Amino acid sequence: MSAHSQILLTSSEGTEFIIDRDIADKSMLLKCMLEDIGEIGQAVPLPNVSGPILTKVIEYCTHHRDDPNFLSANDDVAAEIDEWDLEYCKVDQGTLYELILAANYLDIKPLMDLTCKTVANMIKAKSPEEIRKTFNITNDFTPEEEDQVRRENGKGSRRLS
Amino acid sequence: MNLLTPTPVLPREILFEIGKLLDGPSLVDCLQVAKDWHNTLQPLVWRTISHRHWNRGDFPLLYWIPLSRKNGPHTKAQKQREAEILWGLRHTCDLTFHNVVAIPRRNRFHQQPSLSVPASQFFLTVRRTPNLVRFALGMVSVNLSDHQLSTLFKLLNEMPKLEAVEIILPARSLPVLIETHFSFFAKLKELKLSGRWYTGVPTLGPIPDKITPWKLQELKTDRLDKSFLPYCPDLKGLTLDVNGINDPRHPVDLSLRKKFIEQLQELSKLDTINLNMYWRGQVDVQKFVKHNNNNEKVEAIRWVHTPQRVHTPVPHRPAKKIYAGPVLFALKDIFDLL
Repeated sequence: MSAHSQILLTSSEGTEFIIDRDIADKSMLLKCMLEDIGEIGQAVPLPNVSGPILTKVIEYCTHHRDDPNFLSANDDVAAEIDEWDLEYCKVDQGTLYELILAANYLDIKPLMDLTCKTVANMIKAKSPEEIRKTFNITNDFTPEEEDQVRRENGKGSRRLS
Repeated sequence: MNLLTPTPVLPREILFEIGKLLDGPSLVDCLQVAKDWHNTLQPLVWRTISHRHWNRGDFPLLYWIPLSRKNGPHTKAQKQREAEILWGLRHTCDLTFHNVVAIPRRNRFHQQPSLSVPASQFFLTVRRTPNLVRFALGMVSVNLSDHQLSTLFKLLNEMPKLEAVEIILPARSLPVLIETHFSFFAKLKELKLSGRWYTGVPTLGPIPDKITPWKLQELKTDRLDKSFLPYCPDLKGLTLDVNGINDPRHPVDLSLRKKFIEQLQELSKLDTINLNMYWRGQVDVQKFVKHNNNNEKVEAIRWVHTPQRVHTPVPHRPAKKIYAGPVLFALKDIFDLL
């Protein structure tokens, strides 16, 4: 392993991943860590990220390797998601959640934005009942409470259109 | 991570991040999903205004905030709720209303739940937002009376931080408003005005004498008088939205448009000019070219891709019914003010 260009990561199961330094730098967590302690040649353990998810994350970082706008803050909520990213997010919900968690943990803002946007798009224009079904959430409101929430907050998207 | 549940539960902070990306109506739906979601997303309702693509293009729409004197607050929970709402309104910097009506319609033709906000409710809300920076109002179904409009402008005038206003006004009241509320418009940085498209196109200007220059940087209007521009030395962007011009009921002379383009050519200090798509193909606007400091040619007109409006036939209404609401409501509003 050449000391200056490659980093060794271990996922939660102990699988090892060798990635280039510039890919590792996409993650703020790794970047700060590497800057602080220098490259010590040891594997960096990532106990919160499983192997398949780490593969997915590395795939994203590799695709956006030469993206000059990678870290520029993209606050434009309405901005279109590009085609590759769209395809990238076509995973089952469990994977998507874990991707969000991994992006949050590794502090990769663009990936975080992308995955959150995907979930937001899944929520949009759905009734509360449909949202519960999609995300497998049990309704813990009593009927009276639910009625009150509805009264207090007015109409949702369904009745507007 | 819990392996027993097939889908892991989203942590609160991530749910919060997702909530930031949602528009208002969706957010409201999310509040009703579960208690946890309700508690997490509740603060966001006040943080965001909802930008919902409405059929008028990109006009943002806030589903309106329930705030009623008549129905409460009675219980402790209601009082607490109202305190929350008032707190939220005090911290609101961006407010959008759409479809404010003098009196909400309740008749048999109007089966669907009404989206309209009664004017009294609207004024109650606007009075409680002293920290507004942006304000938008679309009036679509029934016009407010002139008195109510001037009340609104009086209210807006008292807000020290207000910078941007977007209003769809009834065409008749625009000239009046411009004249009577000059000091108000003068402090804005961004102004978007348009008239109801079938009642004709309001024109900004001419300007009364002896006024201080406006601070406007962005202006959107339907039609513009040339004499208006010297009063906005800081103007950077101009958007001309000429909705009414393609309306078959109001054919506009082509020579008028040509004249207008000639006027545009004098605005070479502007950074951007956005024109509506309806104009394309009818007038040769490409002639307008801007020169920058180095005397190079710069494309200065940006076309806004607005889809062509589809004319739906106006449903037949019996001619007998005369709407007398605004007058009554103007009275009621005076009492409100007292």
